[in-house]
Amino acid sequence: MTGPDLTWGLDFDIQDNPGPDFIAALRAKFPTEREVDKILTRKLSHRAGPPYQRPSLPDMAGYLDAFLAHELGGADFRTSELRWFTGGVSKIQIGFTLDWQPPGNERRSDRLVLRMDPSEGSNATSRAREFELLGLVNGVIPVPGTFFLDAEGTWFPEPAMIYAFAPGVTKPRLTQTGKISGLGTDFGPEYRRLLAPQYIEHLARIHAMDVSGRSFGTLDVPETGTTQAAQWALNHALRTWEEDRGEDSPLMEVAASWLLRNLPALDVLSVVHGDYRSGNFLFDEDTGQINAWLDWERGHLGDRHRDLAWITLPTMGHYDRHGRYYVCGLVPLDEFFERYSEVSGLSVDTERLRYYQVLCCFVIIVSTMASNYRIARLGKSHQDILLTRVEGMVPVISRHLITLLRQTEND
Amino acid sequence: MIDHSENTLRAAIKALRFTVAPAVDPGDAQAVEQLRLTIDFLDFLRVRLYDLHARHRYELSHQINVAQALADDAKLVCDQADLRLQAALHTAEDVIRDEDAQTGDLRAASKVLWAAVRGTIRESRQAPDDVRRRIEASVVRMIDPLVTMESAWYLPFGFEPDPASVPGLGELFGRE
Repeated sequence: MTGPDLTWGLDFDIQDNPGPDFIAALRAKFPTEREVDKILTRKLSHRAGPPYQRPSLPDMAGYLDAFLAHELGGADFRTSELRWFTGGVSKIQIGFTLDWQPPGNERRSDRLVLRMDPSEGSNATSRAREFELLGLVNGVIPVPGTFFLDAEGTWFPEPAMIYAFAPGVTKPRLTQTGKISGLGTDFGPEYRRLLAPQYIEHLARIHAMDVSGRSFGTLDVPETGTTQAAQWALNHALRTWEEDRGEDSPLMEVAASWLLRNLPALDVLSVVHGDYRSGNFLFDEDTGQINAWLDWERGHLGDRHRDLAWITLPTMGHYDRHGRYYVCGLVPLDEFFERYSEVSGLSVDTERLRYYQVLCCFVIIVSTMASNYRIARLGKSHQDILLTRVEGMVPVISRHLITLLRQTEND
Repeated sequence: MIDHSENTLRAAIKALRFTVAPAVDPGDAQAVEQLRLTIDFLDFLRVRLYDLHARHRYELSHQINVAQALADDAKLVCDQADLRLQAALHTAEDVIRDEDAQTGDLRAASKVLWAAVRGTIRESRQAPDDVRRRIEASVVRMIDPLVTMESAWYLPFGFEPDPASVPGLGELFGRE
């Protein structure tokens, strides 16, 4: 088998149409969770296919009706009020109403959301895993109830799931901040007062949730006391970097070297949301009550420090006019970790946090500089123009990465 | 006739803003958003258009600085790192010295040079600790001007938490 020359190779066009040898070489070099491996392999296997073309709403209604007819076994149902949702960077979403009669129940009407992958998204992730995670944390924190899953894209053009519509807003209607996917939202003092305690409480609950002894379909369980969790996460990022990038970055190479040398052991197994920030929760604008946590596509079982590092990155929060940084736009950074530990009963380990801070910078640069480039080059998503815009985050994250690496030069 | 690209971009933006936008279904939120982003990008390109060549010269010049800082240690990593880095450096230095070098030449030299740097860093993972540390420290130290330029380049996209701290492109490209 002849794989790519990952050390000295010059050809970045091979990723436009990767052959079986290329795919096999990356799978062998970067072993990761089974579901992640499956999704990344699917992504590359489909890459030479045509650019994404947005289906019409009538097309989607046809897919939806055929799928529901199969799922409901011929029971009477009717779909209506289909409409596109915007806001998500990486997934296609359609709202609709389902009038139906579940077996043994009275006739009912549900407002639902169809969430489907584009041909490629800025994160190649599993709808089946997202579906499983939503089911896992339902009742622990507010999340939409799950209804139906087309894990392989048998009925829709790509894998899709259907969950309950959750009412609410992602940011105060009057703010001008958070225009790109809710990043950097300024909630203002009143909403900060209402939302911050819930934000910390919900994070604490999923991190402290006991999942030992359970069996999962799409989630691999890393062993505590080993570096397995960090290794899987790092290999996921390294593999995606090789699959998608169209250029070199010495800074990323140095970061990768440091990450490979400093894998931390997992102390406590947690449910990790993966993108626990403004833009990914809905709240009632009148009461300030959080109604639902969305976008579990980066979710997994692993190290809580991955979430803690992600949400304290400079692009995720908001700086007030005095330069004070608010985690998720809600909690001052200098208070955040203490309040989190008080509520969760979990420690924040400086070394692990630093590791995941470097890894999170690496992951974001992979998404923005590598995956977004490849997707736009091949026209693979419904949001190519938005993905190219997000590439503007690269220098901000790079500068943070440089700061972190300077602090670790002796490691 | 002089190049009219910037003028044509103005016309394209006007067409999208005043002719196309009113015809877009306001209920199609994705179409409305993507039209706005497209207009934004064309305006960004209009402003940056005549800086593109200067950007590539700046990049290659600073990439050479990074590579030169690694050159002595590359000899201690392995023969291949030394040979490839030296070859790429010589080509890049020839290109940057050539004031008539075209944008494509600059890009090609950058690509080869950065690949040689990548290979050197990857090979250094098996090198003695002191060599590896010096290589990594050099990259982290020397990469700053490139990141600063990227910050200035993408400033209109609005991701910089402290925009006032970002120098202007004119200053970076030696026009001021």
